[in-house]
Amino acid sequence: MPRGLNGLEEVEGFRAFLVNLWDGVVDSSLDSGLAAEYLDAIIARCMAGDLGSLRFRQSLRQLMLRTVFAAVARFQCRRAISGDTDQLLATFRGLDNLVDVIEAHAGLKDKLIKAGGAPSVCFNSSDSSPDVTADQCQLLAESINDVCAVTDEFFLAKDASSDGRKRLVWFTDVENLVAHLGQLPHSGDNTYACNIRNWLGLGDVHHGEHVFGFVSTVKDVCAAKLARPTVFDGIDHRWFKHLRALASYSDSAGRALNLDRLGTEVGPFDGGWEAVTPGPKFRDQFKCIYIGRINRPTVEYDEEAVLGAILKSASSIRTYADVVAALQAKIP
Amino acid sequence: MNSLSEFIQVADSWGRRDYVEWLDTGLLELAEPSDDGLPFHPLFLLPTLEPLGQLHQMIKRMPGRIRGAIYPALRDLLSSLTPERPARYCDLAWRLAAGLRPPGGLTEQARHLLAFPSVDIQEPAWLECVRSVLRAVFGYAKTQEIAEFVDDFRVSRHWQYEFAWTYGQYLVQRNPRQWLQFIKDFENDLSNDRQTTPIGYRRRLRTLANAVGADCLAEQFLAMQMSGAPRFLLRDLTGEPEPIVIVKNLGTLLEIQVGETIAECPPYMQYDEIGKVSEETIQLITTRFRSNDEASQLMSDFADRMSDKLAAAQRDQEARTWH
Repeated sequence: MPRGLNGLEEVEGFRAFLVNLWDGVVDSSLDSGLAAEYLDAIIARCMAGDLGSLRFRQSLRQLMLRTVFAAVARFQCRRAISGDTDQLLATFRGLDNLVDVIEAHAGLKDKLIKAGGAPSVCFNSSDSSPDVTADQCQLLAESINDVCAVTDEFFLAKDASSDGRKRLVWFTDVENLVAHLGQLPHSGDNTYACNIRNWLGLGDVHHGEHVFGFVSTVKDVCAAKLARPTVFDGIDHRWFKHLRALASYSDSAGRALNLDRLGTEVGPFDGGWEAVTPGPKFRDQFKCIYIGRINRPTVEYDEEAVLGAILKSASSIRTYADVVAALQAKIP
Repeated sequence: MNSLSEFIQVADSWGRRDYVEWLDTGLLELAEPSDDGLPFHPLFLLPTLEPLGQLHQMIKRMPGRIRGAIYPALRDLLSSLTPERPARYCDLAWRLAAGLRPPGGLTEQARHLLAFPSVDIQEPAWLECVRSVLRAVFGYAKTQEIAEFVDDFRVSRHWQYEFAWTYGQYLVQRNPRQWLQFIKDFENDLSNDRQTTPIGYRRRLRTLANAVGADCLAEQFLAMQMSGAPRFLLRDLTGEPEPIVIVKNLGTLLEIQVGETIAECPPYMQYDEIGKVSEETIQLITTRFRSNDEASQLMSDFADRMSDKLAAAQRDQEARTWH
């Protein structure tokens, strides 16, 4: 086992990352050589600085992310899954992150505001949601559907790297979602928005935020490129949980961390179906819908609670020390 | 310990200048990222998510004493902002202000930046910045201060008709009864928008009407024609293909529906000869005019008759009250 692993525990979120990494190695969704290479690179950097320094630890964390995102083809989206050919997919995001994607497409925001009638209050604020009404959110979705239906230039993700590859987007299966939460709302439904947030582990969507969805309008969209998420795909997502409870699913997709179960002692900790794919094109494949506003207090990120849930997701009881010991034995 | 608690520990010993410097270096790092930069350190922002939203959420979770120190620091920073800073930097600073809304209003800071001749709205980055400035300024409830700001700003070279709608949305959210006055005051902007981007215009009008609601709209529905509102307004509100305001003649009542809200027309409409008034109104609204002149003439005649009726009704009401 590379030296310095224990010191890395001081880096925020690293312990949860390590458990997810180990789970990926155990179920062979991650190549142990790749995992070892990644850890070696991080530890080599770690040896060159002082882990007692906050700035250094944060630089290290940034490096952990950038190493993956600078080489997406190497680290990400590696476990293709065989999707159901009748499948409809959906992904969800808060208003601020929706705006971020829109603004990453040059000229799109102007078209949405001027030609599409998108309300300007949806934009240009570090927290747009409090000033935006449900009616205005409906209008934003409507304008996206109109304006983006006639351009091949809008994708559901930003560019990830200099080679133009799109960032990953996670999706859930609409049938699976409907089976657990009921039909998607036709107009804003705040309760449904809260349920989606927790069921799909959207810890970065906060109280008061408006939630939007992109739902596929054609079956089998992205099917060839769908992959079960690995810890590298979810490295920027602190709530990410790799392991699926008790291997009790007939499909090969992943499962989100159900935020409603956080802090409880007994599982299942599995939430909704999830898969990832490089950001697909919007046109002729998706429609944007407004889901509702998060109007219940949200569970905020708690490192110990998330680590606890990830450890308990396994079929056998284990501790963090067990995982580190197993990792040391497996990766030379 | 997470980055938020580490930040709180460090920032507890800061003075006002330290906070300004922290904001300044953080915004600069976001505007012009460096290879190993850590914007807003000791906080940690994930590089893959929208950064200002993350910062905003962290600030919201800070203790009051820290938030209370960040607000004046942000105001200081905005007060000293000049176009020597990149447009993106200024834009981000104003976006943060729009979200955090530090107490006290920001019109002075806005006037300060917009007065620089080098702020050129023809450049997309400065247009974004000006949008952020307005978004921040309009968010406050000090309507008089904002109204004066808008009066000055709309005669400046920066003004664009899209800004009128941004202002209108805030105005009616605060006081829905201002909708008609807003439309009259900004008739030229709305008319330009109507001609340039008709679909967008109709949607904006619909959102505005929905924000106003049926109650307030009903109060001034007929006043539209009597008070010098633009002639196109009634037709745009009630016309095809998708009426924004649906007018229903219920025999003894005139009712309007806007979005999901429904309201009856005001009492003076029902005071006398309600059937006739309603019929006449409906007929007017549903008439397809052959020309603008014809529409104008009919509207004008109608307005005169309604004014007479209204005056008579008011006189009668006063007489009843008096006795």
